[in-house]
Amino acid sequence: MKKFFKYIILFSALTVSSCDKLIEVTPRQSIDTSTALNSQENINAAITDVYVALKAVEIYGRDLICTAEALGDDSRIINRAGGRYVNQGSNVINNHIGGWSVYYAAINRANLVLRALPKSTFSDAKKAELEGEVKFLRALLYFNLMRTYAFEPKAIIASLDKGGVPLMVDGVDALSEVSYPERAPVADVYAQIYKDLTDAVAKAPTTGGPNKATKAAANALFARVALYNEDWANAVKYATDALAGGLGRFVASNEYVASWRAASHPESIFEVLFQTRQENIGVNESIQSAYTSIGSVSEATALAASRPATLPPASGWGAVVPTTALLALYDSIDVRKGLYQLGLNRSNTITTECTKFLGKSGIVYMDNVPVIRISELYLIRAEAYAKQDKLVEALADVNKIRTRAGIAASTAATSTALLTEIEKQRRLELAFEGHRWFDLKRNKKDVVKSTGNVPYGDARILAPLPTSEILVNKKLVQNAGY
Amino acid sequence: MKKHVLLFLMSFMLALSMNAQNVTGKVVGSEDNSPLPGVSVVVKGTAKGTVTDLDGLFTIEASSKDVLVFSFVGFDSQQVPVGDSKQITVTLQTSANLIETYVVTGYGASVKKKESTGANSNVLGKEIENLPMQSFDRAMQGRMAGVQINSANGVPGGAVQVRIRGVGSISAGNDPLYVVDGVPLNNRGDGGGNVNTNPLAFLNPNDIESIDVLKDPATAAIYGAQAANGVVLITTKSGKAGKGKTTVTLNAYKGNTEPIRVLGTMNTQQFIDARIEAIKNVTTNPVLATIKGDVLAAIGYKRDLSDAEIAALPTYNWQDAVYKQGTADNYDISVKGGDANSNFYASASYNKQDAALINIDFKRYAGRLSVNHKINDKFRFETGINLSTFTQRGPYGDPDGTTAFGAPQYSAPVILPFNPIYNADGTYYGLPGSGTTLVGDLSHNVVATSNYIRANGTTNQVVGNLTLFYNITKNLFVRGLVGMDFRNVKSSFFGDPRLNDYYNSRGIYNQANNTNSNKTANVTINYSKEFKKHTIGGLLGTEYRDEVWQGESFNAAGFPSPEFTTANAAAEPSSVSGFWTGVKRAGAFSNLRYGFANRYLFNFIVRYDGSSRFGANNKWGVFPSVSTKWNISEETFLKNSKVVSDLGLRLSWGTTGNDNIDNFASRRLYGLGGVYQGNSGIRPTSLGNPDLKWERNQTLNIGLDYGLFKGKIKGAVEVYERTSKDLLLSRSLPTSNGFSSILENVGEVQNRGFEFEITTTNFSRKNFTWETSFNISLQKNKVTKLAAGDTVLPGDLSIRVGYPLFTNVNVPYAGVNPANGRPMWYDLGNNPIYLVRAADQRPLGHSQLPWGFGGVTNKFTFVGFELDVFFQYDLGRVMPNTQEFRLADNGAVLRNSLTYYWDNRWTTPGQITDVPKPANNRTEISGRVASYQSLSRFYQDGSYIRLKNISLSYNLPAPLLQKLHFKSLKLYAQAMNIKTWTKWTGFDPEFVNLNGNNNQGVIPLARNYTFGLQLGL
Repeated sequence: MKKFFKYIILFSALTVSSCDKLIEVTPRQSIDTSTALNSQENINAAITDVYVALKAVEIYGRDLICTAEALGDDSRIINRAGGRYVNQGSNVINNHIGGWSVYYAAINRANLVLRALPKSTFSDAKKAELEGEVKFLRALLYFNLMRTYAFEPKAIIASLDKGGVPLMVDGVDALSEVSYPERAPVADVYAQIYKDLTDAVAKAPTTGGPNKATKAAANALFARVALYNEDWANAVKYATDALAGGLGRFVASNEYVASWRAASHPESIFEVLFQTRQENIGVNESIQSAYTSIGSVSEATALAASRPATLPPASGWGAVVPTTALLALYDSIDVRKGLYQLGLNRSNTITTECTKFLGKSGIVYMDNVPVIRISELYLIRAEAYAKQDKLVEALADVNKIRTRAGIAASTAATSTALLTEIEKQRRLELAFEGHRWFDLKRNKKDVVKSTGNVPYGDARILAPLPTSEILVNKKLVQNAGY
Repeated sequence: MKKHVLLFLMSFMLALSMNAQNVTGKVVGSEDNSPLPGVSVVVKGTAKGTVTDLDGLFTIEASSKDVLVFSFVGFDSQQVPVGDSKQITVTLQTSANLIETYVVTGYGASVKKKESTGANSNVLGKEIENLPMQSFDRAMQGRMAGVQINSANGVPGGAVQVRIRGVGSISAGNDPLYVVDGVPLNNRGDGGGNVNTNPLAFLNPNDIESIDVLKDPATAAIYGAQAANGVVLITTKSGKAGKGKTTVTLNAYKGNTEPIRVLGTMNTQQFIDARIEAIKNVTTNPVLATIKGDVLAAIGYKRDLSDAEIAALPTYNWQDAVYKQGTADNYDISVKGGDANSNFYASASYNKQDAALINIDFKRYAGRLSVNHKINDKFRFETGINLSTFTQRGPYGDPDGTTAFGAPQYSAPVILPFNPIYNADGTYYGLPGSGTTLVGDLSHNVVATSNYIRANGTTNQVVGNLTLFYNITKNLFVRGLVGMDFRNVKSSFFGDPRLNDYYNSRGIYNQANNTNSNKTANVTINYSKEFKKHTIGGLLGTEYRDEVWQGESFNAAGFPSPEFTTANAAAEPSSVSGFWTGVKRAGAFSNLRYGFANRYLFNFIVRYDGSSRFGANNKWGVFPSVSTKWNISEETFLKNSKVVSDLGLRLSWGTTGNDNIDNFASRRLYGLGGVYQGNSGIRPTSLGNPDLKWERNQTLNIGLDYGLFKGKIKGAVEVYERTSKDLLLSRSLPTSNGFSSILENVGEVQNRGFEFEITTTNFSRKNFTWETSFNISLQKNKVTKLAAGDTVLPGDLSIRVGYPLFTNVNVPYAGVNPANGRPMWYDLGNNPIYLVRAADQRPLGHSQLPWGFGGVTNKFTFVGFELDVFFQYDLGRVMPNTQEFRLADNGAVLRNSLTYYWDNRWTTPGQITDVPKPANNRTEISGRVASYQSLSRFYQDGSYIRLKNISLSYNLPAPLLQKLHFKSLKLYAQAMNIKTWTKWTGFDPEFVNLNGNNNQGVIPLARNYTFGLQLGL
């Protein structure tokens, strides 16, 4: 008996203690962090995932484009998407664009790649290219974070200024690396963006655009950042370099509407690509659905040609539509008017809708999103010239946009008149591309709209930092008014 | 042979006595009138006796004045005066105490109820037999103290929430461990995405012999790291050794299902009035005629309809079209039998049930085979296999709650009432491309969606085991079990291109194929010995469990026409996906029992458990328990009491673990990200935590088992304190680090409870008995600790230190300002305010957990009739009625509302009411969206008492059966969910808030009536 029990105890002890191995399971759809970025393939895949972040609904998937338009003064909201955009449209406090955690997750992915690159097996040339590419992306992410949550360096309202955003430039992949950062000063974040863009301009590949970061894209973004920073000389310099980069083509008048019907906009210098069906954001959150009830390019073309007595069924919500004031700003012969047309019957209303996003790649609710295109660069340069009183150069650039639109060249003789004209052309040329809200903000202008004005100096100019983030990180200061 | 010799000798001796005569007879059991072999027959007051043979027959010599005493294990003994009869047929009643006297404690072990030191509850298969329910967990509802059961929804075979002694975990799951015949089940409800599946639905409830619930660690600790939420042990039917002839039982029932309640919504005229009033209320200087014209035009009528024309507008009842009567059918056949060495049980069954909503049903084919065989005196085996395939037709949208406009369960009451359902030619009205559209926010013809979509889930499941027993000595045996729970779930969804959501994509199809294989093996050595007044027993064992879950899925779109519904007809695939995950567990355990004179009992358990889920620093844990019982009624001072027949005091303390977290939560991982430019990305997905370990439940239990007046009153009382420590909580990190949280063992929740069970025999005569069983459980839940520095769980206001879990947090509703009809709320200073601010949110003093629940059964028997009336209740849950929140717009938007809100709205200054004046777009004149959208108006008491089940059966009497050559014949009728008393105004207070939608779009339970027949051959 006793002997028997001894065996039993021995047996159990053996089976149990021998064996952490017994209970070892290796995951198959994940890999260990400590070795994850050891291979070239995995670094490439990690870079891919930084691009993936740009497609998020909070970033170029929707909010930076159409929620920004809803906040601005060129759109009105029709409540037919279950209340979507209504609160943003009337600038109800706490209804804003955001994406804080999406940006920082992407920034961390970029930081981890930048940390792994020097130790990688890539050639030095390739390392530099990849570094340039990732730094462009990091700069873009920080720039968008800044325009959402903070003031531009030269347009700060001291009473409302709580600083920029936390500056995270080192990767975090272990608990010991977690920090509780405070908001860096606006100037510091801009300095970091400048630094990254300088590197990107120097190192990013010259080919591969417009869906991937290139030297031209870095120049273009630098021009825009400089414009926001009222750094006019650099805005001119980088816009000029970007225009010379060979990426994107200034389209002609007669192909203007068609350029917005192609899957990829011919003017794009950097464009976020939505390629396969599974990248589709869907009816509830896509840009197309927010802007128009029309389902496809062919439907829009057919409807523009002749409207049948029985309309096809509506596809999208068509909730964020142009104000009459905006439509009235277009000259009657302006070719850009061709991008606005009557939509379909949705909830017994039919309105004029913007058709820049129509499921152009052939899949409804899915469009590539142009981030920077040639026309914007002319307008950036025009503004920067005008600010430096270089009226001739400014006039040349703005008239490039005007004449292409089919309207007479401007003869504005003062920089004020010219700047007014440039602002108007930005509004008309870049309408519904998510610029207007930020232009008003950097130009310290009031947002005037029928649902109630948002004067410059109102807290609602800046987005609220996520409440949860404020609760967790006591060093973070919420924006004023929230 | 021996028996016969004995019989002969006895007869010989008896023959010598005076007045002796030969009495012959037959003994049958009351359950199925089958003959009972081995029944002892004794002449009262003498040593004379015999036993019945294999056919239940006996012969005994007795005088006419003698009384014969019949007794047999598991049956009440019976005394029959001989009188003049020479032929006696005796029907022995199954003893009510039969199975109750044993408590199943896991790993094949069981102890006498009287010797059990743990808090356990038990339901016999017989009590839940033939209830029209697809999984047995629904049948346990209200029948056990401390076990709270709520249907998550009314989908047949759908999810059920089982909570044993409250909710102890915040993030790691609160479902108990289910063990079927020794095989631990994977208790994930995996419907593959399209249907809602209960992991227990594979088993035909009629195959269940008994369900034992281990509530405290006194017994549950043997299951270690999986036992924190209690353990449910299911024993299925098997043949009975030596029971003689083979019995075939045929059973069938049939019935119907119907909705419990439909909601009273406004008709067309009321809606138009409401819409006009809502616009008028927020218009400065309103001109009624203009508003009326606008309203009519916006809903597709002429601006200038006269009042008479408006009064003539039709109202269509969408609820009637989707909530309909359905059917319930069940057919099963079982065969059982055996001899001294072998026995078997085999069954096959078909079960089908409709929900109260059209096109949602459940169909199961199940089979069970159990074979037990004694090879020799040392060696025997038992094996059982359950095979099951069931197919569910699921709804549009999530049955646990959806706000999908195409979902009939959500949309039917909300669709504007003047929208026709059908065109004049019988086709569906308002389909895309037809030229007609449903007016209003809800623009889907939900009768069409329900009929056109195909949402199916098919589960194929095998649960089986092979168990070997080897007797080393008389007191020592080894038991080894290998078991398997294999489940394959194939689910598919076809989105018909004729429907709004799939018109543009020209139809979609998706399919998921998930397989879970869960293998288990354990070996135990069992010892038991009695000497003098001491009993000792013990068990030593090891267990290993390996579970892998994997699956693939794809989506495709672009179908030529609705007739082509298979994947190969799709123009292009839109996505593919797959996953793989697994967990391994190993453990060693031991149980020691000691008893003295059946009076003082002690029980010790310790389990050492390891799991692959936990951090490198904490892979293994120890789970001990100590328990004791003092059988006071065995003490000399009570032994002869006429009042107290049983009294036992129990005390237990122990620890169990909860390991239900994500399989790889403790690791630092890079996982898959998204896709860009045709390439798949990877990203850091988890920071990892090498210290991650089990949640630990410590329970202190004091119990009292009592029996008075020879068991005419009996039951148990339990008091417990269950402290769940080291709760796995996400500690929020600043997302600026790229990660939002890390899992840590930081929280603590306390459950205190009181349980009371009583069964009384109120009346007992030969032909009429009345028995009442009642149970109540009182519970108090409190969060006692969160992550350091947190008093509220980040991201979830309902979880806060000092309050019960699921505390309702909001800005309290202050009613309507009688002066102007605007809704008001109380700010933190309790001043009425118009605009709800997040900062004014606070606990409202109620929670979504009940403070009490239980059930009452009354059982009457009269001759062959048996009537069971069962009530079940749940008290104290307060929940926001989110469905009504969407049905109280009163014309504010283009959605229908309940007439209650229309009838009770504020209309005139000075009026006191809770329902504010209607306001277009739920917006005040100020232009800002008011707090019309605050949920806090809609908290309702979800307490209910439900007449859950009435069941009436009639057993044909033995003489008639003999003529018919049947062993038994039972006719029965059941009614389920007959009547509910509640203040809740939604479809049904019995639902569980599973996905945050609360009761929005939950498919409600159905009322059932079934009739059946059970025939024994």
